[in-house]
Amino acid sequence: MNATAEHSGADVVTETAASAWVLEVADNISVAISQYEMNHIDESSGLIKVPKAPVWCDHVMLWKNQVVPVMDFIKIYDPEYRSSDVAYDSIMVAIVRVFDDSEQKINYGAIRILQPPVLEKISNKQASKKQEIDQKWNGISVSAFNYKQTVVPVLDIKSLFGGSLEH
Amino acid sequence: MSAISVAHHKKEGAQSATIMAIELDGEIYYLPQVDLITFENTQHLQESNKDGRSVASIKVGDHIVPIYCLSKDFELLNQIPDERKVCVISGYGDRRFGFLCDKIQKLSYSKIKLEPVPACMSAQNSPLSSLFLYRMESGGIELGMMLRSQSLLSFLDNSLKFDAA
Repeated sequence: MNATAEHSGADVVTETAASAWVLEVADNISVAISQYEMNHIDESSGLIKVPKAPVWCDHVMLWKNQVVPVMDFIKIYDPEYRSSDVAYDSIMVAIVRVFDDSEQKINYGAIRILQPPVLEKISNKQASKKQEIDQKWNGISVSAFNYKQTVVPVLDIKSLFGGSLEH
Repeated sequence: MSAISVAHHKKEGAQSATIMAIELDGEIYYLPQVDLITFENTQHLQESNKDGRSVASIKVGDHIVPIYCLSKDFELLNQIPDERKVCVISGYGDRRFGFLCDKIQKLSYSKIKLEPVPACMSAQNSPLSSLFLYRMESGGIELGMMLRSQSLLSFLDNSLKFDAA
């Protein structure tokens, strides 16, 4: 999903729109994924800790006979939880499709969310300028847009679950 | 990861893979039997010949083998908890090392398909080699975490380097 302006003619900007799921992943922090990357919303319990994994992704869930890593942005961006050993009872997750070009198959990843996600129509007129995007999203976002007085990054799901996140 | 293995206790035929279930503070990790040299009772440990962060040593054949003590989260421990009753001896190349566990059990699997640890979970220094799913005789599906002698040895070497820095 690219929320970029299209120019047709001299100074005429055509408005286009695409659908995106907006996910609240921490207090006052939302991210977006494309409509087609969302697979399922799940209330997950029984997460399994994987030792020595990065603190923001140190649990997996078992879903449809697959091992699904659980990404928790709270542990990245909320200092209170940064190094805490959170014991998960039951959390809401968005299960997303992670396309694997090399093996032509779909894997799955989970993102912890605080609220049920919202499907929004995003106009290219909402596109953010590159300098407006917080540097913390470098490497794991493809673009961003303005939404309810905030800048929401559009996640690069493949990079996110491919190990590009370093903090 | 869709292949589900079936766990049995020493009953499978020649086609099965044999792995060792190793318990650390209630957590179970797995080690292929081919990576196990032997296991000993901790009563045979020697206080002498300790090096670095090892908690003891043991003589296996002509080798004096350093023994390490790990928590269930793979932190190196300086003291041996009372629960550690078994000493697992492994090795890679010509190097031998050992670590303590609470229990060890031999299991056979009708088939096992190992998958790498997901890329977003991979740490530079982890003793885990791979993950797999298996179905218990009760029908439930469980996650298995596989150790290998090479990954364990690399993990221990890196941990000791980190300690020394």
